[in-house]
Amino acid sequence: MITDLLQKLIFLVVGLLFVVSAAIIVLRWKNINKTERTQIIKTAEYFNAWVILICFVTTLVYGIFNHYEMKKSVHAIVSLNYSEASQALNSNGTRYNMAEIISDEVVERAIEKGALENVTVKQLKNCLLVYPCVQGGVGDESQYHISTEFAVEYHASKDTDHLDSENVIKLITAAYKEYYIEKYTDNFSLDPEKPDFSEMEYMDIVLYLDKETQAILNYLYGMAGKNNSFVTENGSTFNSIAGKVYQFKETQINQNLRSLILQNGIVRDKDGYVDRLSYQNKNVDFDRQKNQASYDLCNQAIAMYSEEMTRVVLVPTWDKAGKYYMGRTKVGVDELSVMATDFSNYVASNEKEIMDNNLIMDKIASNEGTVSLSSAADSLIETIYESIKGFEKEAINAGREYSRHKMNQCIAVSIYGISLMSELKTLVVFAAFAYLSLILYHISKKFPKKA
Amino acid sequence: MKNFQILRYLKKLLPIIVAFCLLLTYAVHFKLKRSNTYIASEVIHYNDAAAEQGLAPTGDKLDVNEIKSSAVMSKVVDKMGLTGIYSVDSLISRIDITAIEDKDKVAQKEAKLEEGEEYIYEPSTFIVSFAATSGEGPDFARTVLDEILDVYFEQFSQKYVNVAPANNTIENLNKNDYDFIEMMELIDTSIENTQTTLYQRIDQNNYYRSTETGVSFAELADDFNYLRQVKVSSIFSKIYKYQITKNKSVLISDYTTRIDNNNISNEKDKSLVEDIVEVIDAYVKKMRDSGNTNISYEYILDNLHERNVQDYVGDQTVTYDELIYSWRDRNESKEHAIIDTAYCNYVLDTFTSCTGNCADACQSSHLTCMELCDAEYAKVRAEVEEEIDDLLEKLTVLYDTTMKTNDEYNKFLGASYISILSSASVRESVNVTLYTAIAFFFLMVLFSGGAIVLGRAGDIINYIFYTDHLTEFNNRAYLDKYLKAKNKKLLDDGVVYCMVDITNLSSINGVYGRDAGDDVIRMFRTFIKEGFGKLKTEYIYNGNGSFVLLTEEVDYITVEDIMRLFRLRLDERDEHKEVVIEYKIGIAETYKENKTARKLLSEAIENKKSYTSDLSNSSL
Amino acid sequence: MDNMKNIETDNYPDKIKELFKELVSAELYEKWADSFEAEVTDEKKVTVYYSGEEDIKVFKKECKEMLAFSVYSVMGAGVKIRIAKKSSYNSLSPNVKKNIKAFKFFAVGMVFVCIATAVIVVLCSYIGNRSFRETFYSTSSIKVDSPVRVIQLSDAHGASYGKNNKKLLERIKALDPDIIICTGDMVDSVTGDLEYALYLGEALSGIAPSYYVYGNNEVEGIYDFPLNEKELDEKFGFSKDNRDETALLSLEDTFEEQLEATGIKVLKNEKDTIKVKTMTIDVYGVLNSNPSSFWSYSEKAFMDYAYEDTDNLKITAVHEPFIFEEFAPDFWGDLMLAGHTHGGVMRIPVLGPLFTKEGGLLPERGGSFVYGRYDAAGKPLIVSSGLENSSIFRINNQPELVIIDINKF
Repeated sequence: MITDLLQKLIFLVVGLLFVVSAAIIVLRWKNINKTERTQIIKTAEYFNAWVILICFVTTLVYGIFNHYEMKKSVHAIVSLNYSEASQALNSNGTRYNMAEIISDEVVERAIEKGALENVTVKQLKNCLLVYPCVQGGVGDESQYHISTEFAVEYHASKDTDHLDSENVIKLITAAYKEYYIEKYTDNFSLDPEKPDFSEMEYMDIVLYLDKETQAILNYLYGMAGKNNSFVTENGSTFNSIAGKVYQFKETQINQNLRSLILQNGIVRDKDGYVDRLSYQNKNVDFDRQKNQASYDLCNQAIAMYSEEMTRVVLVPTWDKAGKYYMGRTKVGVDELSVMATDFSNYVASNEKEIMDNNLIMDKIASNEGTVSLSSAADSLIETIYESIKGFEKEAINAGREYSRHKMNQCIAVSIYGISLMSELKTLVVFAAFAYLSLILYHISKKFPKKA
Repeated sequence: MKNFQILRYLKKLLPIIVAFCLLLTYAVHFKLKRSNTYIASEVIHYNDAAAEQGLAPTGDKLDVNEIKSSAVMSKVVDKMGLTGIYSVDSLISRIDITAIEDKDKVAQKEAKLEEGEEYIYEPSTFIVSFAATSGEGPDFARTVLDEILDVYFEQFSQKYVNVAPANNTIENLNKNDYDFIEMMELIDTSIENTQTTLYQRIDQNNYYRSTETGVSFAELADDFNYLRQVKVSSIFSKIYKYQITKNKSVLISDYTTRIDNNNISNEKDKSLVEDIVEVIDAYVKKMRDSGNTNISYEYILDNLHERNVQDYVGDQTVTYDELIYSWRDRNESKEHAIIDTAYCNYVLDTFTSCTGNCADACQSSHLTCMELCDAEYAKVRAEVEEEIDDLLEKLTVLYDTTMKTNDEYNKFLGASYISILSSASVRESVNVTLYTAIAFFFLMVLFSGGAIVLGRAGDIINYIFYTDHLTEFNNRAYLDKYLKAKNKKLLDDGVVYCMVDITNLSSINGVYGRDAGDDVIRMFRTFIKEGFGKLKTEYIYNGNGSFVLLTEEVDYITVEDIMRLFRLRLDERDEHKEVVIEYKIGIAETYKENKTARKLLSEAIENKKSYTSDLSNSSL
Repeated sequence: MDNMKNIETDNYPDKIKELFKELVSAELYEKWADSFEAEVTDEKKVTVYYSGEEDIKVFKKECKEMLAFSVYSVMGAGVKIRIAKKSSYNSLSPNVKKNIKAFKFFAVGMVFVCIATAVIVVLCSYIGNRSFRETFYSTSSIKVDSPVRVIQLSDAHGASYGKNNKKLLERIKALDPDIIICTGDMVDSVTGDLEYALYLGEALSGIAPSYYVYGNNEVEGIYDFPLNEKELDEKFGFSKDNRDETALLSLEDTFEEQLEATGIKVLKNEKDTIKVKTMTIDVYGVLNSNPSSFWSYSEKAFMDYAYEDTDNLKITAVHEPFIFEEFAPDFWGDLMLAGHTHGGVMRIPVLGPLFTKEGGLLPERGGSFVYGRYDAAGKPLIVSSGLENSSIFRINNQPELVIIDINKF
C-alpha cells in the first residue's frame, strides 16, 4: 500500500513539474519574441548533468516501487487438456463451468492449502477474475467456439496486500486442479476400512466379499466400456483384469468359501443367525404369497380376455439381428403374459431364497462346532480379502493409467508473473516523461518573468 | 469581400474544432459506456430426436422457456449468493432465448404442409443470453449465464430423463416416537423403494459411475441390499424374538387398525372388481355386436418400420386392455390386502403370545411376555436401539452418497441431452468504439460546417464594418481594432509598417472633381497591392488619401524597394497624367528593438516628415 | 545586470595584462608576455596559465608579485590567484571545459547513485532475508490416491526465524505437511550447532514424519573428511575392485543417534517406508551425494530402493544436486529433492544466479541445476535455495521453505 502511494507520489511530483513548467512557459511565452524563443529552445542544455541524474534517480526509485506494485498482479492460464473439454464438458460428461475456478470452495481450499493468514474467502475472491482466453460468437455457426483455455487474474487489494501474489495464484490453480480431480475425474475405491470379520456372521462375510468383488467388476466393466482395447504398462486390459476378478469371485468366494461355510454350517451366533434366517423366510414368504397372487391374477386375466379382442395386425419390422421380420401388434394378453412370467420368476426366486435359508439352517443345526473349520474359514476370508485389495489396486492403477493417457494431465496451468519487458516499458515511458518534465522545467527558467 | 474559401475558414478554427470534438466525443464515449450492457450468450442444442417434435424425452411438451423459470433462477441466486442483492424476477427479465431454425427443415416442413401432409418440426437449437449492466461488467453476465445453464441442465434431467426419486425418507426416524417394528418397517420400505429406483438407473446406464462419490448405482444397490439382508433382518428378528416394543397396547391397536383398514379396502376392491367385470362383459358384447372385432389377419400396417418409434411416445393403450388391467389391479390390491392382514395378525400373534415363562401374566399386562419375564430383555432392547441408530447413520451416509451420485447423474444426463455448441461469449449491446468513432465523425462534420458558416459570416461582417468600399482595403475601424489587438505585446523582428498619404487629395478633388480624386486613390490602391502582393501584408485605407501597410516577415530594404517601384510607376502612369499628385511615404521597422504596434506606426508617421519627393535624392 | 557583469569580467584578463605591462620593465614584459594568460573564473578567482618554455618556478619568481598587483588593481583586493602550467585541458575552450565538467559531475553522480543503489539493494536484501518465503510446487504421480504434501527444508546453516525458529515452525505446522524432509547443511558445525539441530528435529518430528539427510557440512563435521571416492578409498584402503558399500555406513556417527532420539529419522543411503493416508511412501536419503562416490559407494542401496516395491511413491532426498546432472539412470524416484547451491546466492533478474563454484559464471546458462524445478529421468527434481540468511551477498534470493503437493494428475 505504501509502495503504491509512493509510486503515485513520484508520478504526481513529476506530473506537477511538467504542468507547472508548461504553465510557466505558456504564461511567459509572450514576454519574449519568436527569435528569442527559438534561441532558448535551440540552446537549451538537453544533456544537462543534473537533469539526467535526477531523471535517472527518479526513474530508479519509481522503478523499484513499480516493481513492487507489478508484483501484486499475476495471472495464470488454465488449459483443459482432456478430450471432453472441446464439447464444453467436464471429464465426467457434466457441463463445464468456468466460474468454478474461483468458486468459494476452491478459494477456501487455496486458503487452507497455503495456510494464508488474515484473509477471508470473500476478500480473496474479490481480487480474482476469470475469463476465457478466446471467446466465439453466436451470430452464425462459423463463429461458434468452445473455450478450453481460461485466464485467471489476481490483483492484490488492500486486504490481501500482505500475501505473495504469485503464491496466491499458484495456490488457487493448484486448489482448482485438486478440486477438479476430486470432483470430475475417474474415481474408484473400495471401503478403505477393513471390517471386523470376527464380529460378522460367516454368510454375511460371503455377501460382503461378493459385494466388494462385484464393485471391482463393475468398475472394470465400466472402464472397458470406455476403451476396450486399452493396454496397461504391464500388458493387461480392463477385460483381462475383470476376467481374473470374475473367476476369483466365482471360485474363491461363491464356491470355496461359501461351500465351506454352508456345508459345514459354520456360524458364530447359532441362535441369532437361525432367528434371522427364520425371520427372513417369514418375510420372504409374505412376498412370495403376494407374487403368487399376482401371478394367479395375471393368468386369470389372460383366461378371461375375450377371444375377439385378441385380434392383431401384422407389422413389418426387424428382429434382434437387424433382419426384417413380420411382427404383430401387441394386445393386453401379451402384457399380462409378460407380467405373469415376471411374477412367476419372483415366486421362484422367493422360493429359492427360502430353500437356501432352510438349507443353511439345516446345516447349522447339524454343525458340531468344529473350531478348526472356523479357523480355516477365517484364514480363507483373510486371504480372499487381501486378494480383493490386490485386485482393487490393480484395477485402480489400470484406471489411473488410462485416465492419464486419456486426459493428458487433465488440467495444465501456466503462471505468468511480472514480465521484465512490461516493467522496462513502463520505466522507459516514465523516464521519458520525467526527462521531458525536467527539461521543460529547465527551459521554463529561461523565460523572463517580464517582457 | 473575400472569396469563399472553405479551407481558410477551417484552418482558422481547426484547433477549437478538434478540441471541442474530442471533448464531446469523450462525453459521448463515457455516456455510451455508462448506459451500455454486456450480453453473454451461449448456443445450446437439444440432442434428443423428440426435441424436433417439440417434445421432451418423457413425451411432455418441451418448453425451452423453463430456462427462465423462477425455479431455475432462484437456485442460481442461491448458488451465487445473490440473495437480497437481486430479485429473481429482475434477473429473469434479463434472459433472452432465441430459436435458431434449421433452414432445410423449415423448407421441408413448408413443402409438406403445402402438400397437405402433416410435418412437425420445432427448433432444437437456441441462443440463451443474459444481460448485465455496465456496472456489473462482462464477467457477471458470463458467470450468471453459466450458472443458469448449469442449474437448467440438472433440472432438465430431473424432470424429463431421470425422473424416479431416490430420497432419504427415514432421516431422523429415531427422533420420532415410532415403535421399533414400525421404524424397521419404514426403513425396510424405504430401502426397498430406493433399490427399485436404483435398479431403474442401472437399467438406464449400467456402468455409470459418479466421479465425485466414486460409486455406481449398482454398488449403491448392493450396499442397500447388504444392509437390508444383514442389518435389517437381524434387527427385525431380535424385535420379534424378544417382543421388543415401546408400548404393547399402542402396537396392538395400531396393527388391529391396519387389519380393519385392510378389510375395508378388501370389501371396496371386491365391489370394484364386480363392477369392472360387468363393464368388461358389456364392452365385449357391444364390440362383438358391432363387428369391430372382426379384423383380418392379412391386414398389414404400412411404413411402420420406417418410422422412428421414439417419435411416438405416450400411452396409447386401448380401452379394453385398460379394463382388464384395472380388473387385475383391483384384484391384486384385494389379494395383497389379505396377505397384509395375515402379516398384521402375525405381528399381533408375535407380540401377544406368551412364551410360557410368565404364566400368562402378560395376557393381562400392557407389557409383552419377554419384557415381563426375560432378564435379557432390557439389554437386547438397548442393543436394538443402538443397532437402529447405527443403521440409520449408515443409511444416512448411503443416502447422501446416493443423492450426490444422482445429482451428478442428472448433470451428466442434462449435458448428454443438451449440448453446448458455443460457450459463453460476451459482447456489448452497443459497439462503443464504433459509435464513438461515428460520433467523432459527426461532430467534426457539424463543427466544420459551423466553422464555415461562422467564417463566412465573419467575412460578411468584415466587409460591412471593416472594409473600405472604394479601395476594397480594410478601413480605419479595422486599423483601430488591429492596433488594439497588437498593442498588447511587443512585435517580433521583421515587422515593417509603411504609410502612404496623398497630401493634396482635397485640392485634386477641388480642381479635377471627386471622381478624379477617387481614381487617384484607386490607382494608389492598385500599385500598392501589386507592390506588396507577395508579402504578408494587412492593407488599410485610413481615409482621406492615407494608406497604411502593415507587413510582417520582411525587412526595411524590401519595403523601400517596393515603394521605390511604386513611385516610379506613379510617375510613369498613363492615367490622369494632368493631375499633380503629392504624397508622402513613411516606413518604420522593428529591427533589434522591441516595439509595440502603436509605437511602430508612430515611427512610420514620423518618418513621413523626412520624406522627399525627389526620387534621385530620396533614400527611397 | 548580469550581462554587464559578464562584459566586465570578460575584459579583466586584458586589463590585467595591460597593467602588468605598465608595472614591469619592457624587457621582462617582452620575456613573459606570450607565455601566460589570465582566466577569470569568477569575481573572486583568477587563474594564470603559464605556457612558456622555462620552468614555471622562474616565471612565478619573476612575475608573481606584479601579477598579483595587477589583479588586485583591476579586480580589487582579496581575489584568489592561482598560477598553473597550461595543460591540454586548460587549452580547451570554456564551452568544452564546461561540458567536460558537466560530464565529470554526471559520472561522479552516477557512480554515487550506483553505489547508493547497491548499498540499498544489499541492505534491503539483508533485511528481506530476515524472513523466508514459501515456494509452492505442484507435481503428479500415478501412485498417489489423494494429495500428498511434502515440505523441504535445506541449507539453514543454523539460521533462525524467530526465537528457536518459532516462525518457521509455526508456518510448517500451519501448512500441514504429510512428510518433512531436511536436505542437509542445516547446521554449519555439528558440534557448535548441535542444540539447534536437535531442537529443530524434535519440533519437526512433532508436526509430521520427518527425515534428515546430511549435507557436506554435517559430513565434514562428523567424518572429518569429504565423502568423495578418493578420500573414501584412502580411508578404507579400497580400490576399484574391492569396494564395499557398507563400509561407509560403519563410520562412527554420534550425531545420528542424537538426532534420531528427537524423533527425526536420519537417512544414510537407506529408505524408510511410511503410510500416508492410503498410500505407501518410500523416502530415500543419499549420504554421499558427491558424484565421484555416488555409484561406487551407494549403487546397491540405491538400486534396491529404486527397483523394489515399485508401487510405492518414491521420494529421493540428496544434498548436492550434481548427481542428477552427471548421471542418467532410468529412474531416480517419483520426486527428488536437493539443496546445497543456495540458489546461486546472488541472483540477477532474467540471467539467474551470478556464480556458483561448480557451475562458474551464470551457471544456469550452462545447464547447471542451481535453483527451482528440473527434470530428472522424466520426474521432477526440486533444488531449494535453502534457508541460510547470513550472507550479505544473498541478493534477490530470499531464503525459502519449499512446499510440494503431489496429486493424481
